[in-house]
Amino acid sequence: MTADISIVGLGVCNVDHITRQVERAVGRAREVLYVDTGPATRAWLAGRCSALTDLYAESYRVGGVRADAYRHMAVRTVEAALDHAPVCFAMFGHPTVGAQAPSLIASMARELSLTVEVLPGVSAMAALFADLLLDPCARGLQMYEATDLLLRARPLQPDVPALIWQVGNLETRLHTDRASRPERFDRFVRHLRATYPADHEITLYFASPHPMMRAQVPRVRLADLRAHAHRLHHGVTLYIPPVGIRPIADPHLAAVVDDPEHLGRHTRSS
Amino acid sequence: MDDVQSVLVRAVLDEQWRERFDADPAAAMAEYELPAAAADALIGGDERVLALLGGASEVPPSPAAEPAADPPPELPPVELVLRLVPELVDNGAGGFAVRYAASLHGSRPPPPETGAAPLDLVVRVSAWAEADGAGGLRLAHAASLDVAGAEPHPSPAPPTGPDVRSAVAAVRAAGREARYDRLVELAKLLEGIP
Repeated sequence: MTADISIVGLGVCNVDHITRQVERAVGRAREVLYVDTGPATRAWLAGRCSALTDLYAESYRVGGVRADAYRHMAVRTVEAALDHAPVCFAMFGHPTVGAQAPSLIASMARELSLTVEVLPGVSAMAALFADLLLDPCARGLQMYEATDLLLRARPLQPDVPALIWQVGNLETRLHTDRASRPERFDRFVRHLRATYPADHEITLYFASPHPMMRAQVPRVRLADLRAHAHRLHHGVTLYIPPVGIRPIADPHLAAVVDDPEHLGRHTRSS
Repeated sequence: MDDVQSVLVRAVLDEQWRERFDADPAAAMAEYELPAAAADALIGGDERVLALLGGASEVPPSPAAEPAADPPPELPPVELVLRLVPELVDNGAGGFAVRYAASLHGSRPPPPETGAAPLDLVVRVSAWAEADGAGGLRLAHAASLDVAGAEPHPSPAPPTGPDVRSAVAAVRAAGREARYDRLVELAKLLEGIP
């Protein structure tokens, strides 16, 4: 059954990441409302749907509250679905990563008896795992939105790899395209310095946004982060490698993880 | 659409041209008359492409244009660890009671070889000097606490009830011109915005 609203991710590498599943959802929509500034996005969508609405251009303004932009996207999508479903809300990356509009669309749709499907896209996190060869199963993974990290003084575990999102939007809920000053990151660096040494190397990761641009993975010392303020735009994710290894806390379990008899006690015979 | 934008779009939508570009970038780009800097950036595939993609703020400025001020001096961070180890003890009435052995450490000690896993409460304190606004420096500090097993604050319940039903009814009753405003009211209600 076709959903009234398909919420889909377009991936982070301008069209190259779009899945077959997403392509089908776009193809059956009577209108695609999209948030993606990639140069080829509109042309690709236009080849599959005749009614396109650029919600990025409609929603953001310098100094505006980002939550207002997300609400506008959600309202415009639900408004379209009430008028001429099925419609598709298509956004850069993965639709539920770092985005409030999809959850609001889903909440409004539920109240209005509209059906919704959510189709995944390739997020910056998936691209980062590939570009940095990071396996989150190896030593775990902790990740926080940068401003939330400071607001709640969230503790960081030094022995667990960390991803810090939206560092270019630090300390504000307002929208801007302007570059940051070095001083913007002082409070942030102080928070990290409570956990990591000054010379700890962190990666300023930016996934490839277009096939003609490689992923950016410059590494800088934590103490030097402010000197790289101009590179910390809203698309950058910080990867902080772990410091040290947490010792085994349960030696009894450690003694049996390679023991066939232990496995036999926890599995059925056939 | 200018030539730079044409290249950026073609690289995504024209597979054959992209294969030619991957095999011989300079030859593929010869079809276009691009500014030398733009052509270099596209062939190089580095962060200069961001500016061509429209990320105006993402163009690194000349370091001389806006020198970074010296960072404020820092003092060595301090870590304190309060270790609690639970123990089962005879309660003197034929049963058992739980008590905790507490110890304070300057860094995380290794786990005990036997017995229950300890609970470590790690306090990290960092201090630094910062400008006091009068040309001098003052001391400031911050701390973080790593508390295992802290109880999470309960999430607010999603709004339900007559307010939402009224807002939904208003959306359904609205004509096309008024529907956007009624939907905004419903959205704010669901977001918990008064």
